[in-house]
Amino acid sequence: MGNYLNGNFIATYQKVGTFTINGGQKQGGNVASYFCTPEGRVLHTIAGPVDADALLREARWVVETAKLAALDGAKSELHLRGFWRKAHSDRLQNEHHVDFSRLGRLNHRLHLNNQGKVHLLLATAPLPRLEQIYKLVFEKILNEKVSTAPVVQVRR
Amino acid sequence: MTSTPPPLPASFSRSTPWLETPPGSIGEPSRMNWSAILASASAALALVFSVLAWIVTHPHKAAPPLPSASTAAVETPTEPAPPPPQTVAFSATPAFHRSHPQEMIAKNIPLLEEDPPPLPPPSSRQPPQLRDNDMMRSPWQIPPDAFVKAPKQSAGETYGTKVLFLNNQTEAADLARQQHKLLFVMHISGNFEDSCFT
Repeated sequence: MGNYLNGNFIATYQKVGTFTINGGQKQGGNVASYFCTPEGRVLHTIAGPVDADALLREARWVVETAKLAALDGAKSELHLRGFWRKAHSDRLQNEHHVDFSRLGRLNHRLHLNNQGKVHLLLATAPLPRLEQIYKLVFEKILNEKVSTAPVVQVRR
Repeated sequence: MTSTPPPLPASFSRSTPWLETPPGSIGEPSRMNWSAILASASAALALVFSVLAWIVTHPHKAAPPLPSASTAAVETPTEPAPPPPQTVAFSATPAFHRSHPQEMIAKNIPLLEEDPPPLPPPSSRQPPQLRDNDMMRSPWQIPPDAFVKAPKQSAGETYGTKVLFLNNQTEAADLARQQHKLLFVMHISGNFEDSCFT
């Protein structure tokens, strides 16, 4: 997994939230992983912690889909957005059984897990800039607050 | 043709007794104070030896002009003979050892307690490096490109994983663009550097 990520991605990190350590127990805190273009366009997101196999699987899907987009000749931004919209809507259909094309005609509330919400978000607004969606992912999908506060340690 | 001067009148010789020379003094060699001459010569030699010793101990310094022995002998007073300088030869010129600038810098650098972080993967851009000779040059001799702002590249760390993380997102994006890679960004709570706070 490490070799694949190091070979295909340049990794970096950013602190966006905080949590509390109360009596040695962590309260709150979460993680969101973004696969982006060098220009900061988000191709895919993993909301929440996952194991190494899941991370590797998602990383491979991003790399192979990006290669396919290049092979498809998706040069213009509009064409590229349409390609990634279809990629996320296909996964939404296959893995979460939600037909994105009939989404407007649904009269019941969707019950999606975090990854389903990510696919729905990126199918609705493909290739967003990272600064446009990170608050949405962190606060609406992960239910965490974006914060610059340091980690708080509460001693009992 | 030479003409002999006329003899002086006797009244003149009587009025100027200081002008008369003692009989038998004309044509004799003048008496010389050889002990004073020897003492001054030895002092000059001692001075020469001390200068030579200083030059040998300071090879990088420019040698001061050597005083010639004849000049020193002329300038030395002749009345009181100075004692022969046996120990003055080396104690008169104290050796001043000026430490090398690189040694001073090395002595003043604090010791690091932690190992430096591993370097990020090599990139095509290489910052201009100072050559060894640049440390010995004066500031106006250092080429201007040595002070050009080098593209700083933050050191990546793995933080206990197998993935190399850069701590600057802008630099990571630049590196991804250069190496035709994608960007992997983790948004986290807490401090990624400390496993207790992640």
